[in-house]
Amino acid sequence: MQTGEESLNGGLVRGRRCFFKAHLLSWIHCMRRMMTPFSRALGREAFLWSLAAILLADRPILAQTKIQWVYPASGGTVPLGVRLLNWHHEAKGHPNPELMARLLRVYVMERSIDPSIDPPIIGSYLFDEKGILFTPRFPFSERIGYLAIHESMTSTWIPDEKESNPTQVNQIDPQAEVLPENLLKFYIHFSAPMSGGAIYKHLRLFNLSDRCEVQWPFLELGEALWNPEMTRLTLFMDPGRIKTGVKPLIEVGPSLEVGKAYILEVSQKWKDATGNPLSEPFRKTFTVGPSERNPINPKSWNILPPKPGTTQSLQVSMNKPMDAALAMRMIGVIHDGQPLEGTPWLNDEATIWRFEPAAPWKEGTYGLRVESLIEDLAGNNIGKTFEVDIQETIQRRIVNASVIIPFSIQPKTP
Amino acid sequence: MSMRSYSITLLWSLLASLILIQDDLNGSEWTRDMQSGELDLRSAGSLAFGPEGILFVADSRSAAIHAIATADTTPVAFSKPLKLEALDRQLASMLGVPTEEVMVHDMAVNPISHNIYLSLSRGRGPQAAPVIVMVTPAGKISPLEMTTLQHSTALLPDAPVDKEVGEGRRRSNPRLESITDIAFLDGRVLVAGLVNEEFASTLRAIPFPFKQVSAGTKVEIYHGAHGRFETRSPVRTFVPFSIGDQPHLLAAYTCTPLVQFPVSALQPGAAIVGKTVAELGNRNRPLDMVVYHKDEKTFLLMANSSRGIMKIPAEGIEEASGIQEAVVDGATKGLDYQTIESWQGVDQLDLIDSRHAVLLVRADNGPLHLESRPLP
Repeated sequence: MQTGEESLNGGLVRGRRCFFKAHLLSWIHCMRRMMTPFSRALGREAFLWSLAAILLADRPILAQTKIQWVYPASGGTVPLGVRLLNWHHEAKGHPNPELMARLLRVYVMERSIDPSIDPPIIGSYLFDEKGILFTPRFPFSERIGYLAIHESMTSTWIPDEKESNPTQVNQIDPQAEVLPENLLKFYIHFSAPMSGGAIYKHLRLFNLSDRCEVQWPFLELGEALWNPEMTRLTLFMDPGRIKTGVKPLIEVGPSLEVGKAYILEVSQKWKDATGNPLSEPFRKTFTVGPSERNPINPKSWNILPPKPGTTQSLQVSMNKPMDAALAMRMIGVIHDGQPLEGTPWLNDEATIWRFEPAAPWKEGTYGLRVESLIEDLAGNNIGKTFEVDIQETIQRRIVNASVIIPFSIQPKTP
Repeated sequence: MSMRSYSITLLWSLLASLILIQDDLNGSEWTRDMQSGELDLRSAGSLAFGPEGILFVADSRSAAIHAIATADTTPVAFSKPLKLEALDRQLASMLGVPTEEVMVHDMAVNPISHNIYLSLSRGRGPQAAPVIVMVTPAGKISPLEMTTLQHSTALLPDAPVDKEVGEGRRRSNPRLESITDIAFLDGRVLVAGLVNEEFASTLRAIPFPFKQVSAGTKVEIYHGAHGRFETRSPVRTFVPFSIGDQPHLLAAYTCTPLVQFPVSALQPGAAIVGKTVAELGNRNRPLDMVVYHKDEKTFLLMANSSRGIMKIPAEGIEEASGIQEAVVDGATKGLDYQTIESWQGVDQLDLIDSRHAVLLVRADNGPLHLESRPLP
């Protein structure tokens, strides 16, 4: 900040007192050298007139208070602060922060914000020989203009128009064309970080078969479920319309019905993190199949072991689509009780999981480890369904453990 | 020095040392292990007040709860109605961003000073800055200065598995838990959350003052529908509530039922089935709840997304035997309640004193107002 100001002013602008002192000294010096009998004859009047001339000549420069935007020394187009240049305190001592806040006010240039009633931007004020410096508490945004006001004087800063690649929806998981009636969630993947806030108005579900929009199909949360980069949104279906016997399901029925076709639409109006709308709307079309009410059983998965001495991928065919995010995180390979380094991969339908080891496979026994909290598309776990019929079984506790399925890497038998 | 002035001096010294001792005792109990300096707040969501003006802030991005000693402990009487029109516009104007870039996440009233605290985010996307502002009962808004306050932090027990997925530069840990509500009760911070991947249903209890060794308790919450089907049920919002002299929690599930369970059930590793006391219908997203006393009776006020505020007499909650059969008509089963139709568009509510509530109201996607109203 400090270096920014220095480079900006470059020592050219000085306080009024220094300016005056420098001029007065040079004037006396000149007068002494140029003193002639003639000028002496003019006497006191000449002295006063010439002094007045100098002061008047200096006056416009001395009094010029102006608003100046202060930029970072390292370059950059967004100002760090605003300076009220050449403003001087008439009274003794420094002006207090309240006075400085009245003298220099900065506002966002937005239609709804009115400087005559709305509060100015908060920040800190500093007074020095250059004038008053305002630094906002939060950095100025590069997406909106700002207005600085000093009495009847104003100055604006407008950001440059920026060319940016519009953000788009890359994909929506699950990618299968047929989804279960009791589908629990979607993942919407964007090509760049998005903005949060009131997001649900940008998401609509249409029932193509009945030619109507599905009302209130999603679980709407105050704080939506994003990944840290805000490039992936988790959109839960309203569990009140999935769970047996709860009022929303009884009142209005399920959001998705077997045999019908739907479109999940992401509106183009949704703004990304830079404030620009999406390049185009995204529509995912799917049909609805029967509910999935079976627990996950990794023991029934088909494991295709690779050859020893190679880094061929291990291939696991799961017998139904899994939750893509959880399948990537909750399936792994262990060897000698330790997790094996490697890269997992999942097909689009999330039915085949592959694993390429960092080092070649060795002959021997390995294990496929699957965490018990892995879910299929309807939220069923290993050994436990999303909804448990407690008249048949009570298995309340999900043990946060894992299932290990051994497999062996052997040379191909001739 | 005369005898009299000597006595007065002695009296003053005694008084001063007593005050100092008192301060030290008060300060030591809750803030002894706190540290000063900049608080690394990455997001500001749910808020709750603890003892002595200590504000708890849920920080989902850090998977943590922060305790901030606000030092805001001077009692101020709430004397005249508060009404701040277009609060979101005023906040945007102060924070230097367009109105649409200010999101108010939660509100809590300091029970000592009656000052109102709001958690916000300023800006868009992952770079949005968390901000906490204080609004006095007179309507003066000022941001909380994070650099000078004492604070301590508890990381969520059993926080997201720190496992990165993806390749090369795209490697990241996408799992994040969103903290849906927090409350302070009997020396513990209770935390409800939702995960962005698995449909988890954990409720945590973290002892306060925060300690390094004790990670706290994690329980799983279930919903039993009509004695037959049972599901894990994440809690969206909850409020501490006494039944007799037993502390309970009254919680709203994401699938809408309102349930109760005793706080004593929050034992390590427990699986709790909440007792359903009310079935809320479709579109009825519970947003916030407060408990208050009026005319020697206790009531629950619940803001929700579709109807006006619901006022529920506590007797009904205490006596509710739990709903066992399916709801067949359109009525809300289980509890008698009154809908305060005039309180529309309430996003957040809290008690500002024993007779008034303070509300964040947004009607029809219009501006957000902050106002006090007498309790119904």
